Amino acid sequence: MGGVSTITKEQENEVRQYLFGQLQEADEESLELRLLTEPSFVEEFDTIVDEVTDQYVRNELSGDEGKGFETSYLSTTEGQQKLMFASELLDRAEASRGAAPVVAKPGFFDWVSGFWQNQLRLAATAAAVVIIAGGIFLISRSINSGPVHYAVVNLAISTANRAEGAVPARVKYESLQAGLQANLAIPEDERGGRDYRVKLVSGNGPEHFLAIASHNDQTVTVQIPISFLNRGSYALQMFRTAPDGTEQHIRGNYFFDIE
Amino acid sequence: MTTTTEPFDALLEWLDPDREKAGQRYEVIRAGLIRIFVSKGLSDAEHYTDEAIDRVIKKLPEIRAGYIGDPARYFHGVARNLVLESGRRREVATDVLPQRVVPEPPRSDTSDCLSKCLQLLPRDKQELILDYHLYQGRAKVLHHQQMASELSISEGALRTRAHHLRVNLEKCVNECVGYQGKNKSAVESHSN
Repeated sequence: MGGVSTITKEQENEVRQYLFGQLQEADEESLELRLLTEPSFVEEFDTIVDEVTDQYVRNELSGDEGKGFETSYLSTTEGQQKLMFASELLDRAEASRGAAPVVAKPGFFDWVSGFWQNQLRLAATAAAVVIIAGGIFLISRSINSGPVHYAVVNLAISTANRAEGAVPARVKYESLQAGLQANLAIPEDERGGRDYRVKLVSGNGPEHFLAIASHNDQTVTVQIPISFLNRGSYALQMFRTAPDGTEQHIRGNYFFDIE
Repeated sequence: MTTTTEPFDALLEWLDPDREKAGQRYEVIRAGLIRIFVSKGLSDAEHYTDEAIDRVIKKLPEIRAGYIGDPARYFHGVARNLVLESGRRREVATDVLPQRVVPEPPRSDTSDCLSKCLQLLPRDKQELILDYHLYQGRAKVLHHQQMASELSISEGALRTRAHHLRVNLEKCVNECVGYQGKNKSAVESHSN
């Protein structure tokens, strides 16, 4: 296998229609026969599947296309795995180059609702030790000398999930002006990282990697723009870059609710 | 695979008298079948592919002498039947049982594994794969044009290069996630 594109734009469209379940039976048959006989076509097919998956993650498909792709390809474990990979890859690309955040379909984030209820045994044992250290204080004040006002919240990591009793910090939506500044306590054994990244995860919306406002040995501070927030449940996930350049997800979440 | 050597040899011979070409044809058919089954929404496409090949092998003694045309067509017919059968089974199953929820691996595993697998790539390839997946719509097209021009290759060649990198990266991530999942299960079972 290998080489440059071997199919025309029209054939590419046919593959796309096939993936959306929109191809006529006769065309479908001829496309499937090509899959069984032409190695270069299989490679083209795979490339188009990746491109369509990326478009799905970025919410670029029309309603019918997205639905067709969901009910066929993405309904399989193979498709779900591919979707998960594509979402991470696009996120990473955006984060590493500082481009606009990826917008994903809420449907894809179904896993998040499972995440809230997931009964992880290891986390259960840790549930007792969770919590929000240092007390949560919430004040509306200026973080800079300029006119931009962020509500401020201090959060500690929780290795349990919500179903197991992790107590989220609560923030009034009305207190948010420019957004929310979250001061995240770095767990003791995760300190000394060369760098940190923080991802905002919501139960019903897209994810965003956040700009790090500052970090010292004990705390990472992020500012979440108001455009990323609505009333609802959120978690922040932290990633630590070790001095050797490898990045690890720090186990646990920083939970908060916007009321 | 549940195929035994002798019938499998007969299958290869049916595909092409030249053993090497037959092996290549077999691999193409297998790869195509997997894609057809996944596209039709059948999880565990490898299982269905093995089943399709088994069925062809079993039928071969009957059909071989009188069969005219490309053997791939016969595989295609068998695959179509399997898709229809699985559709009927799913209809019956959903009448009786609630839909099975397939547990997703925790997302952080994918993220961790992506970091690890990216680290295994040379710097220029890391940059290429991340750069290639920036932007959407028109901005993406222009960006790819610019990348191709900087690398002095055609856009098609860039697309192929990026695809090969992505295939390998995805394979690495899937293997890593599977490995981490097994390790977690082992840890959990030890902690019980």
